[in-house]
Amino acid sequence: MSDTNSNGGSGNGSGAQIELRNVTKRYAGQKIAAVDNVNLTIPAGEIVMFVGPSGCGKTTTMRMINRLIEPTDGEILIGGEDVRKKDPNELRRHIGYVIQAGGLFPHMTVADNIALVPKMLGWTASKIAERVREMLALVGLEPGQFANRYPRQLSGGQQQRVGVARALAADPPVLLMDEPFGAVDPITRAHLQDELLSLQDELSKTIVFVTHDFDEAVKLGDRIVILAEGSKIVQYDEPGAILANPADDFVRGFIGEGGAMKLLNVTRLADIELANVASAGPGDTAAQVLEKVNNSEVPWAVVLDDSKRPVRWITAETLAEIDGPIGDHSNADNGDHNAQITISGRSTVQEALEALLKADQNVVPVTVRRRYVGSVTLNVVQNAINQLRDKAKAGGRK
Amino acid sequence: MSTLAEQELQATGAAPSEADRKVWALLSAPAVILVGALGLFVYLSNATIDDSMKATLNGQVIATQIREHLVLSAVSTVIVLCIAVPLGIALSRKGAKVATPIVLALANIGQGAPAIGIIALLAVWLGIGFWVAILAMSVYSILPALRNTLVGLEQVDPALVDAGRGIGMSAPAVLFKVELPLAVPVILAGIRTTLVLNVGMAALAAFIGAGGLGNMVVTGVKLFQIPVLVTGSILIAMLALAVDWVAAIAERFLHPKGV
Repeated sequence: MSDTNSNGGSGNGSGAQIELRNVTKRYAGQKIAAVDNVNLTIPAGEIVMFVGPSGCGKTTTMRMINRLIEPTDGEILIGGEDVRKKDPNELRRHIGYVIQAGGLFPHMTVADNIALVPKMLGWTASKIAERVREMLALVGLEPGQFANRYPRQLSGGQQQRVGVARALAADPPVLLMDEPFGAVDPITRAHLQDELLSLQDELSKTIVFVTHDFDEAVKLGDRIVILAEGSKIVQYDEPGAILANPADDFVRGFIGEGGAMKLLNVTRLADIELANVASAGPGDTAAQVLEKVNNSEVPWAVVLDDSKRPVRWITAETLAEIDGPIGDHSNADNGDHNAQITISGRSTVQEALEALLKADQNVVPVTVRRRYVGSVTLNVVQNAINQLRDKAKAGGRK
Repeated sequence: MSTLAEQELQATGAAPSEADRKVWALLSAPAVILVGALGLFVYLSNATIDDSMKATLNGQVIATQIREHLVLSAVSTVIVLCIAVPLGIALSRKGAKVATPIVLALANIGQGAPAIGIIALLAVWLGIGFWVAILAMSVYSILPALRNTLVGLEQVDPALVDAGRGIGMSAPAVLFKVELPLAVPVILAGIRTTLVLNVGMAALAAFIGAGGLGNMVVTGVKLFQIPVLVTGSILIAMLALAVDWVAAIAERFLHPKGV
């Protein structure tokens, strides 16, 4: 992802790399630096979450990127260019900025709010009008219905969407988001998070997102920076790696209870080793299948149809009763049953665990594009966690 | 979405009734003025008015005095605006905030001192006449406009100023496009108070020869002409009400949309 675009040109759509070098912010009259010598590289096109307790300097660090706060020392580069060599206002017009509740101006219509940055950049009126419509559609608000409303006439979630539309209006390569979803209810927040992820699939901006909610960080982040007092970077890694191998007790405390469960939630079935369960086509002979079953962990085989879709489960007992091809032979007394529950390889391990519990069986077939690829059992889940931990320890990126 | 739509329906449904209420409030002032005028007319029809009173109680003299009164009020209000609003803006900026309590204390003295005291002291010091009256009125009435400009700017959500700067608006752009428009309702309320104070204080301008409806009161008291005194007093009250009413209407139309 990081090699797609690393130049800092503005308005070319996708993101630019951000680099912080020895960045320090010291306020007059304070002994301890608010931000103390931070070094951080944020790859182009990724969502990087700044997580930390309040007062740790995460917002200060973010606000130095668009110079709302001037660093005392150090360098900040966006797409290789030093932000301090640019006029601050001009710089900020090329960096999207989203704050809690959107920060919309209540005396301006939705359209006027979105048009602010393009206007400052001197776009023509017709281009601005077109862009406003495009942006509203992008964030899922019908332009005809919403363009001329005032922010007061919108719900919290809608205001937040307009805030994102305003930030994206001039197509900046970088987006700074300061706890944007902090003021909306949990259901709306989940929606907005999903929408941000699908927007990001389309736009590939470099997004710096400040939050104190670790779960939000896990859900949204390509990477997470965990910050302590003085904006000290405690751990900087992908969510799975942080969950599997927290750097220290501070990070462990931040992850909170249920770290393993959260890890299950960021791991996809396609990325783990599945159980070796015997599979059979209707044309296979019972003897062949029985041999396979005897070599596998579970005393069943999954029967697939001609396009390799799982159809039903067949037990070793039933297989022993059959002579020749298994065909559609089934004996419910032996525990044979239809494979009603299957799960997609794109699902998370947590979803698989839930399916296992719901299915009332200890094995669920996994499919990728509807084709059988393996099965998931409780053992599989446990092994996956252990492997993720080992991998994270061995990789040990910091 | 349905709940949202419902909320909006309720909101738009509530708006007209609120507006209606405001219309009634706006109509009450003219009603009181009308009643006052009728009362005055009935009183004057039944009062005994001699020739010396008729010299004061004639249309032309009254019209001149009303004009003088309005000019006094308008000029002093405009002067106050030219000082108070820029001063309020300056004091609301970062760095100038230390000066705020000092300036507000001075403005407080202006309003705290008795109006007649200010006007008399300034007359002793600077002599009598129109401009001395204007100066006294300005000193007396600057506080509401100044304080409301400050309060109006202070109550603008700092997050909006931050949002403005964050998307690349310059500091003056944020002031003129965000802060001032959002402070308008509070600033206008202050200006309205200043204006009404000035209309009341203009009645005292007659003591230092600056004209206005105060002349009738002064004459009435000096010559013990009760009908002249009553007419002057009621006209001053009615004028103050009328000016306040016009200001209320102006406030309504200048209120920023969407807020």
